[in-house]
Amino acid sequence: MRRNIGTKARALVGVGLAVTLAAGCSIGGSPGGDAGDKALTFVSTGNPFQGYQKTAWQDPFTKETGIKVRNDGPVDEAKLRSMVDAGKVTWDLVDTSAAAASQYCGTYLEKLDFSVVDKSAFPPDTVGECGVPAYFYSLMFMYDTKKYASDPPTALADFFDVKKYPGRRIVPPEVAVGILEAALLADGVAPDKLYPLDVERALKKMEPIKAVTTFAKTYGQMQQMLVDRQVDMGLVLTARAYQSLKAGAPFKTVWDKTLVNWDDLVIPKGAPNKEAAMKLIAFAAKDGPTGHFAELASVQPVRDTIKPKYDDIQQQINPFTEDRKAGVVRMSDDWWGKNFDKVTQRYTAWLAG
Amino acid sequence: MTTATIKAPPGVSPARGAGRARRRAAGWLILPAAALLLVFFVYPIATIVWQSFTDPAPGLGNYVALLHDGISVTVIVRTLVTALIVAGSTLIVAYPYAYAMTKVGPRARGVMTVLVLLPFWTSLMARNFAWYMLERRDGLIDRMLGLIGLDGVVLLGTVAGVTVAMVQVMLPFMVLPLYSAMKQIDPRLLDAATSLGAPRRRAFAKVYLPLSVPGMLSGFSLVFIMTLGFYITPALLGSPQQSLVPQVIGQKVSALLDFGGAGALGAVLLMITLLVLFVVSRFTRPFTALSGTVGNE
Amino acid sequence: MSDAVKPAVGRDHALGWGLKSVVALVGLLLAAPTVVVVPMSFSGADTFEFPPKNWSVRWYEAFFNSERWMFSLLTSVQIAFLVALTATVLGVGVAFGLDRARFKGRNAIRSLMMAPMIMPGIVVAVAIYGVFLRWQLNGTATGFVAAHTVLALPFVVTVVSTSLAGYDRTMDVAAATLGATALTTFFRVTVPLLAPGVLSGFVFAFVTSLDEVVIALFLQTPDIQTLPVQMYNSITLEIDPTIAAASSLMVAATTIVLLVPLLVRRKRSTS
Repeated sequence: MRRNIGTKARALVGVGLAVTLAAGCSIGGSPGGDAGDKALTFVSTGNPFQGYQKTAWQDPFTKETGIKVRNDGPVDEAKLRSMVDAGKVTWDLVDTSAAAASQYCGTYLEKLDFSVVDKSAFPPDTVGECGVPAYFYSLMFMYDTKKYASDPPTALADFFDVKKYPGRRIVPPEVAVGILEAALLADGVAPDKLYPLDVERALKKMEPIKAVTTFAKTYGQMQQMLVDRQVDMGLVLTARAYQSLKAGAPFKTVWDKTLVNWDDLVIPKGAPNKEAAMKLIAFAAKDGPTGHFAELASVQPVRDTIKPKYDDIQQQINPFTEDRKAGVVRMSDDWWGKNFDKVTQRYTAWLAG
Repeated sequence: MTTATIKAPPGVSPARGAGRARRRAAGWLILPAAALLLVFFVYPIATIVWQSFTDPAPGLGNYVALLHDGISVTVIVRTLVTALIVAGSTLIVAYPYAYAMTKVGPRARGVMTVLVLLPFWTSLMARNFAWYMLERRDGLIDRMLGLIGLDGVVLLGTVAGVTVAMVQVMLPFMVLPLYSAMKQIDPRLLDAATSLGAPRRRAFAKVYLPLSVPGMLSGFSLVFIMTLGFYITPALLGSPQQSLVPQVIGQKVSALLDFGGAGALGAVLLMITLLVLFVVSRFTRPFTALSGTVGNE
Repeated sequence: MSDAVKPAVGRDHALGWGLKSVVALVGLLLAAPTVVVVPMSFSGADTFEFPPKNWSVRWYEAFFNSERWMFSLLTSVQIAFLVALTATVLGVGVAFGLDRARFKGRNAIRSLMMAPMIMPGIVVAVAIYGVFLRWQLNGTATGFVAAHTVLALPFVVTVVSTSLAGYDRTMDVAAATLGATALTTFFRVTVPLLAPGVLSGFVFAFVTSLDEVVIALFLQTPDIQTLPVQMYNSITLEIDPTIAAASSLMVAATTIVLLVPLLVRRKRSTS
């Protein structure tokens, strides 16, 4: 009897150990992918935007090269930095602001191999050592046409005027996409005198709307809130504006000043699949994928030789039509690259204070 | 958490010497767990506190910065006030409920107990998601209040919204200690007081209320301490404009990789927690009511 | 006063209308989230609506057909199982040690075991994240299991200690006088008597890990995302009604898992 128990106990421990080991080995790994597969991790701002990057860039890329791509998000520069610092990089390709690309070039980002990526495919003043543009986008002022049916806002300044236009507002999660620029333009700063940004003046302009504004956590949340009419007006990025309008959000753009900026595709330093990532950057810049993505996501392609066929809704929010392009104000990624950390810190403090 | 141990009756033990040796050997059983806690709990906490004095430069820089950065003090005060409001509201809401639990029959009490334990059983993310949907514009709360003429009450993104959700999840921590304190109160005391001519309300305030103070105290301190550490609820239901200390700690690390600053703020939170525990432990034992509860924020 | 007298006296004062309605309101507050989530998950609409106008199980289909959701579910269950196993083994050791051994510093050990419970969750999360970055444990199963075991230990220690305290040591002696060896006594007497407590500890540890978000948010990588993290991302990134299905499943799962020890205990007491 004694031996019986001993065997039982031993068997139990054995089974326990086996289960532990088996489970320990199998946790993790790419969803659905085999460990042997070389899968590239692509990081962007979430669906449906990221879904379009999959349709226009990743899927044809996989078809052509056999390299699988999996998606993760949201983009988080601090997370990227901590990965690199820890020497445990799981991201291969990241859709991030041009400012971040120039700020972290060489320290947290791989330099691009221009024998793979064709420099001449991009406007010369947009190419950095670590990043080339993936698409242009704009930040525009939109309002709920049902809420303000009788007296719609007409200028950027109205966004900051809670007395004249009461209601909930929403702004993007990142300060560097033009929020401060919008505040300064609304405050009367001339477009060519924007930089260096007077951060304090911008924040002062934003003070009155602070209490009635949702500072979105992610772009996905922003889009959701527009569609669900949780807010009455917002500073919205093109791609998200398009999605919201397509989903039936009754919003309309105020064509005053429109801020235009671009995103880069960058490779974190020490990325496990950097050659493949380099190839995907080059692939995404080809005429076909670039144009396709511009049409799907409603952004501007990196070359003006590509003429995407925009649908009706995309025409409604296209800032580059003849009658609107005078209002386009280009942002300075050079200034942002140098001041990003400082401004982010100040902005966060202002928000929580 | 009980300390009661039952010793074998003396003289029955087959060999006392062997028993003592086994007793000492039993101590070694603690070792693996203690080692795990030392490596994965004590060491990390010690490290981050250490970093608050050394990262980026040795000294009290991070603590001085808390005073001068223009937000930390505001956020700390806001967090303390929120915790007070949550603990206070929970007490007000829980008191009549716990009182009713002592008054009803066993079956009703069973139902009430299951209800009060519901927040424990509901997964944290499910709960927060539910509040998210309830509190947003055109959510159920907004529409219900609209029916009684209060239009446009959107709790999402406000301190009130965070408070409601916190009160709900903290109710068990208030009701259970209150109930166990009230159970001890002899209801005939109230009858005696009223039969001596005191109005019922006055008798309640003079006799019953003071006797329930220990329960109130342990419930209040428990809720206060736990509320200080909430992270998910304010992150999802609150707003950056109304940040609480845990959000700022999280942000310092995830957005700026500022472990020193996060450590300093964390140390402040820890000190407040320990201080409250210390003060309260002189009067009551708040954590005896906590045994066997699930739901770490 | 005796328990037998109390209810009789209590019932003399039936609850007044005021108190009754307050109790009803509090009950509503307690139940609100559960009451909302479950119907919402059976909605047939593309967006959230409550109460739903038509019903369907499409969001459950979406959940079970989504690679991402299923992957996070699997990850969560695996981690929770390992945590429950580790925490139970270690926690039972602690409970026995504290119960049977006499040494200085027992109270210090006891406090150490309970400390993870009172420590603000975010401080623990950030602290662990910091050292795990250096030890390269971020996004590893080992890292998750270690961190969650720290949180789960107090529950196991508490539950097992409680059942040990109610354990009659004369049983051991009786077995010994009847000629059983220490090992036999342990497996034939001690184990069956403590099993319900240990099972409760296991279940609490399992649920603690399954439901943990704060640490998991910091330790997550694309390779390891637990279900609560996936839910968090779903709310903040792209909210669609699949999360209502996920929430309902979580509620159902924790309820069932937590009921197991109760049922076992009941069965034992009736048999």
